[in-house]
Amino acid sequence: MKNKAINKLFKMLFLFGVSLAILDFSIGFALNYMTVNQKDGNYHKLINCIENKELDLVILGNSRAERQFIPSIISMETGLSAYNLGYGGRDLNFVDALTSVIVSRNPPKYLMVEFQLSNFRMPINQDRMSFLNPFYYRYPELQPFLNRGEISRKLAFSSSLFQFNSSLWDIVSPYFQKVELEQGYRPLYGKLKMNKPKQFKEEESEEEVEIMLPEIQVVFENIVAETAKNNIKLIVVLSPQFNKEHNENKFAMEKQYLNQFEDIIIWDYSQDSRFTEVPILFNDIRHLNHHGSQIFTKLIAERIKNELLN
Amino acid sequence: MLFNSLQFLCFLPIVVMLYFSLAHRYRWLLLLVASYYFYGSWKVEYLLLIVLSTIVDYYVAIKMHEQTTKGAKKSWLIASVLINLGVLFWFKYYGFFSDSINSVLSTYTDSQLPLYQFLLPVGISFYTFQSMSYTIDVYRNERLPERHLGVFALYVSFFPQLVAGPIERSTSLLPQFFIKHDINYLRIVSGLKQIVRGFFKKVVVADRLSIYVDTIYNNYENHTGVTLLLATIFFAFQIYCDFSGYSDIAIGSARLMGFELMENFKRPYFSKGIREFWSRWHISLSTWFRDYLYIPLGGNRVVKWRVYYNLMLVFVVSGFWHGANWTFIVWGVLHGIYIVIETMINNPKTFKRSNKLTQAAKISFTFILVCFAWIFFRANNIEEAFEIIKRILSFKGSIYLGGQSNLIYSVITLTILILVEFKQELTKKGTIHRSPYFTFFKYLVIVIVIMLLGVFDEGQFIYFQF
Repeated sequence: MKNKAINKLFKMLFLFGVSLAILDFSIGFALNYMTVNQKDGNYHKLINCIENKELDLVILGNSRAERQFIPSIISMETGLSAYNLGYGGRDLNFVDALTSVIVSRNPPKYLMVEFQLSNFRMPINQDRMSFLNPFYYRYPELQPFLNRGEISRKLAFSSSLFQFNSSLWDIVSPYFQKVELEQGYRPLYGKLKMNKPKQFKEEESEEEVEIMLPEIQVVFENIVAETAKNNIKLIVVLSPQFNKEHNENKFAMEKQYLNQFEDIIIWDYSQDSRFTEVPILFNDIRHLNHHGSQIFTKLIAERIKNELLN
Repeated sequence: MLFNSLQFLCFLPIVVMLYFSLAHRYRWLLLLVASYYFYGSWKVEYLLLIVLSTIVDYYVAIKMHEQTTKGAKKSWLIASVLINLGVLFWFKYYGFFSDSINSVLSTYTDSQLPLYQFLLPVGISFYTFQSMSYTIDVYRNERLPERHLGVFALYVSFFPQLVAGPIERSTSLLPQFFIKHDINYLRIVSGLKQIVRGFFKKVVVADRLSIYVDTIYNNYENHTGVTLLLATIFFAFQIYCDFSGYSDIAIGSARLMGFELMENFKRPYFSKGIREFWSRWHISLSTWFRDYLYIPLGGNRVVKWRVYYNLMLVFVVSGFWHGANWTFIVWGVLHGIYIVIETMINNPKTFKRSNKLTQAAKISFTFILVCFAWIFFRANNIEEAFEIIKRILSFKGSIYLGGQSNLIYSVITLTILILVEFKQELTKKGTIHRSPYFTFFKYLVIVIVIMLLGVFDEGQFIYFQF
């Protein structure tokens, strides 16, 4: 009786395991096919940029990179081929992960990172990295970022389904929802609605802490080291934010820290009154709209031409 | 050790296999070692607290049983309650009280109570209550004292329900340790299915919703009333799935070895009133308060005002049980007020006459009341809670989409959960009997959904902090 129960149990568990393995492989195969064959969308953008051998300049960062830098304007003004690999909601660790892949495959001449000084105070958010999970095997440089050196995660990545965990929407949506992307740039067309421009408080993210986090400094130094090693010029751009009440001293430590890196270029537009006081250039207080981005990118392109190419 | 960790996924099958391999007389020892290892993996030092609670209640129960007078018995009981609650107070409430007293003292004098920082021992409220219920049961002559120290230690520390319940009664769990459980195919399959359902609730629904809820609640000043309303509704389901998911994994894990733990949740958001809600939500705690606090206070066999007082007191204590923060106390007070009002106006005849539409209205109204109280439970402090309510009541603005995909997964998984529970509610059964092939395929799909849509950052269970 006891043996019969054990046999039945193991038979069921074996069948369940085999069925799961077959489905894991089949669904994983189908999702991988859909990922690499996207005609547009976020994954298409990633593959298109990383596997492009002719890029001179790659832009990285969060939504402010993705929404404010227009590669076609940079190309037109400077003659450099450019691509915007910014992704909304991502942090510096994500930028570091992409930098690792880019520099070891098709290193461009310039890497432009949109950046805010407050980034140094925001802890690494690991769940933002899951977007890259489908590329765990395609781009092995990502593996230390995704498995975090943990055995449990290394084991989990042997499952095809786990590689596509939380990625379903990014894989499927471009097949029925057209995503307007222009060399990775994703425009915003809204206008900041406001009768009287008001002063906005310096927004603090819920994750922001009082001090510069050593872990973020390590991430930043890693980006600096990787670009330097591959002779890539690193340009850090602090883009404008609408009419922000600014405490000059708040980020003094970050400024001092950044200034110690002689090999990187820092372009600070965070207080540029050509933008910060003009609501029609903004979609919301954090992001320029398409019109604002055109003007901003032109300024960046001119600066590239004047300070880097001449 | 978290249930949603690889460590536990290895630990559980090893314990189950060893359990069935060992002779019955050694099984308690295996489970005790496994339970101490399970708890010690958080912080070994805090095992001493469990051992203290075990030894005190073991000894007190035996001494109490030896006493011939009620007064002497009572003295032992008081000693046990004071020690148990003293430890709980020291680790959980001292900081809160010293802070509150110091803020009052600071206006009159320079002297202050010393402040100590402790890491709250995981699940201390759960095992303290479980252990206390045993001594009270012995005091009431509802059971004899347990003479086997090892088995009693296992009752206090049984790993599936140690850190977040269900809070078991000695009359139900202790005798089960003496029963020889053989491998039973149907019971093991049933346990596995409950574990899978628990994982679905925890990693697919609760942890997914928590991403949105945390983003909004931790930065509420920058969000609209409509967004805060959505986040509050999401939190209601997050905490439900987090806690009932834990209970499912606990019940399922225990069932693998033949132990039956009590049901802790019965689709609480389908309740048609607050009283019903509390008969479906965290059942092991609400029945604990009923049996060991409400009834000894006189329950509902006293004059009306005293019934209302008893009800309020139980809910204030329940709020305080959850944590040393005014937010939890307000949450308890609100539920106390709800239930007192409901008791005042309750007319059973009206309830019976109600048609489907009025039933739906009652479910919705109860859900709104519960969500309103959850705002205090989730907010970091009282001022924040009031500001959030103010914003919600403005009904202004649009919904913050955040990472669009996260919101889509949240809505999809939540819809699945509600539909499944709605169907269960209609049939009034936990599960609907289908062919084994259908069940096999259903659980295959659930596991695939867990792997595709689960959040695997080993998120803590909310109730661990209590």
